Amino acid sequence: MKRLTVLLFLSTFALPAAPPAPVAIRNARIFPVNGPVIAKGTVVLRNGLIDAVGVDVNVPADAWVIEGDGLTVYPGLIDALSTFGIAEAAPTTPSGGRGAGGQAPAAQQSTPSQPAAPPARGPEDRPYTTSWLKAEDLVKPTDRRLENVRAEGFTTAVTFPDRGIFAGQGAVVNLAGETSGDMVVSGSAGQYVTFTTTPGFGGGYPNSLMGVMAYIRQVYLDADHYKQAKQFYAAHPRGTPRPEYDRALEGVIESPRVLLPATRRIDVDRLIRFSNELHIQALLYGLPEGYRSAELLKSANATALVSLKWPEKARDSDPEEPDSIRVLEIRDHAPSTPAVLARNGVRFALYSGGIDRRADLFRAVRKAIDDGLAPEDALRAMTLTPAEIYGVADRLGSVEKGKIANLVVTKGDLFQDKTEVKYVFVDGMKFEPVEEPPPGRPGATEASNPGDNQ
Amino acid sequence: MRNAIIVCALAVSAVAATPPIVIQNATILTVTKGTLNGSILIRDGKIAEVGEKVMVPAGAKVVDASGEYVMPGIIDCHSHIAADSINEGSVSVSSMVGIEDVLNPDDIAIYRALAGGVTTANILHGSANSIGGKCTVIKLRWGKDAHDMIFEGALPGIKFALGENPKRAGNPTGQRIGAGNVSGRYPATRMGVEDVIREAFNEAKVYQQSWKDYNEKVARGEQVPPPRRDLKLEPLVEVLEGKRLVHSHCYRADEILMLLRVADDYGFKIRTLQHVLEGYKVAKEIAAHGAGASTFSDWWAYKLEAFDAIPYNAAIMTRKGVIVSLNSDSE
Repeated sequence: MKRLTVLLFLSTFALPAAPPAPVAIRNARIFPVNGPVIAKGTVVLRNGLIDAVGVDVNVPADAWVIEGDGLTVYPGLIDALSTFGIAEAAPTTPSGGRGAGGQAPAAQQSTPSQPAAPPARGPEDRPYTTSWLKAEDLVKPTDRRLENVRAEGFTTAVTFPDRGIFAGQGAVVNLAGETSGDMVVSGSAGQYVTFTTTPGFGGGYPNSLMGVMAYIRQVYLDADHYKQAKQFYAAHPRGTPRPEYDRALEGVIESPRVLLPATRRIDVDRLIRFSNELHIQALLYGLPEGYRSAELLKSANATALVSLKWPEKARDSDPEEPDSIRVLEIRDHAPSTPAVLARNGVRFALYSGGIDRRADLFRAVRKAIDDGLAPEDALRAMTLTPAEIYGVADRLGSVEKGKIANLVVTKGDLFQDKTEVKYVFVDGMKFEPVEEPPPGRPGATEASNPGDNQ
Repeated sequence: MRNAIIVCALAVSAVAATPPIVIQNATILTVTKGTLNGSILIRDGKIAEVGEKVMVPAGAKVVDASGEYVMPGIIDCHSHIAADSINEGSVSVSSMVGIEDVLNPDDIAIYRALAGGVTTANILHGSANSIGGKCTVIKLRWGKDAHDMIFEGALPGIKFALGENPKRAGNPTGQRIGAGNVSGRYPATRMGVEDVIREAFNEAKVYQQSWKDYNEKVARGEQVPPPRRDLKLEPLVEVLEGKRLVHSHCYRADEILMLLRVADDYGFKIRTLQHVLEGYKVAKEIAAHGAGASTFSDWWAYKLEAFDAIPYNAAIMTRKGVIVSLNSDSE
């Protein structure tokens, strides 16, 4: 039976025009997320969509049946801030945050063979700006990370170009497909902003946090002026010098929301004020010190994207160099951020921060649960909430009739260490994840760690 | 030292609208009205009464300061604390940036400055640029958020810098320097520093005029698109209009005179000369311009342009009629 199914799906790959065959998962425990848990129910997938879900659902005659006894069905996980699908973005360390300098201006990155561009003289040179890049044009199903990422339970990522101050626009993409076009659920997810600076003096503008902020402010003023100038020109084309086309401003103007990096509480305070001043809808991301920032976020009615990559001491850090008490405190308390935000009624989603191994991801989520986050809140923050944040909750985020057939089917509770991810469905297409073995030194085995059993 | 601690502890607790506070039996250095032995009544964050005998309101917190001194909180005219960045050193005119954007109330230096008796500080941009970033005056309200530290009503400032620092990043050859990947930044000489300031104000005057023209046209009912707002030039227009104070880093007498001449030419005032270690040589000219001087009490010879400093600088400038303050330049 199982082999037959696999064979069938292989043939589906060969014929992209044909939708995946209908599937029924019966007698499974179902976490729809939008409603109460169904202890024993059936989910039917057809044409890449969820056709039916509930206790009294008939299994259609033409459906492949998966016996769900002992299995649990969840909505596919959504990585709320990601580079998954953009192969060039790997390795996946997010470039956001302060001090992420050292990056060449985007113009230099795209044409590495050409001589380096002159240093930016100021905001007018649009340093580190590729606001016009769109993730929907960059994603590829050949990104090697996708197989691992699906094994974590992710079926969707809100993926962004990640280099530069205005790095580019994100898209909601499904993490499988025959073609790039298959993957795209929705474009215009927002503009990803990092606080990239040029190291040292004389290397070009900006080289400080306040320089980055002044640059962002000038860009939004320029965008307003650009809109006014274009309107005026449209009304009076004769006798008016035409405004110069500016792709940097076009990219900023067409972004419905802006993702801003907030590491510490002061960043939260600062960026809430900043986004109010600029009249932009901001999503603050990162938030390792979110546990101190809940009341600020709540009173501003702000939305937070919390990275599951909890801060750790860098592997290559100097052992002689002691960490400050503030750094130690943040490292210790960061995983309590989701619980504190949930308790204070702050809307938040969790994102992988580039974690692409199931064991690491589950361990990171469990840390938040151990620090007081209810498991159902953790699940919501990785399914329905990100779908709501990005305006795709009509299609994604819950196990509901009519939504896209993105599911995770597990043996055991999601986020538990021993839990097995049995199947992942993306657009109704079934995958049986094979997790990549943990990275280790070649030849290193348990036996070679003599301390283990003592 | 202990006296100073009393001052700042009061300043902090008074802001929180706590019950009135009375400091009794203190030696009070009023600064404006001499020294007296007596009491101070603090109510709603303000000094309500100072005198030999002061009524103690019901519910007031009484502090016995027998044998101790009370003085006004120290105002530091040149500080770099409480900010997440100080120098936008990439360009020679960085007036588009501002300290207000990056104030950080978590900086432990605030607490330490309070312990030293400082209650107010002028947080200045660094000195890497001929025209630097915007400055902000803060009260050291430890425990408050960034915005609540800003001193309400204090005129905003801007940093200028002359001499070695702004020209250090420059390179007379105009070629790339360092490992070949850093281009030389204009200016590389003191002449160039003057030129950068003059050129910036030439630009600012054109910009100012473009908005005047626009506003006049709009007032006449004409339909015209507005000029582009320029965050680099707006603060310089404010300087020209007397709405923003210039605090200029300087050392040598010649460059001090140069800056005063440039300011006179463009019709604005230099509010303070910072460091101003050779100020004693041109104290009369400084006084005539109306600039204040903010200098070190006893720090010099740390670089070539600080070579001609003398310990009598503050005293001589004061005698010649300059308003002098001593600063920390602390980080």
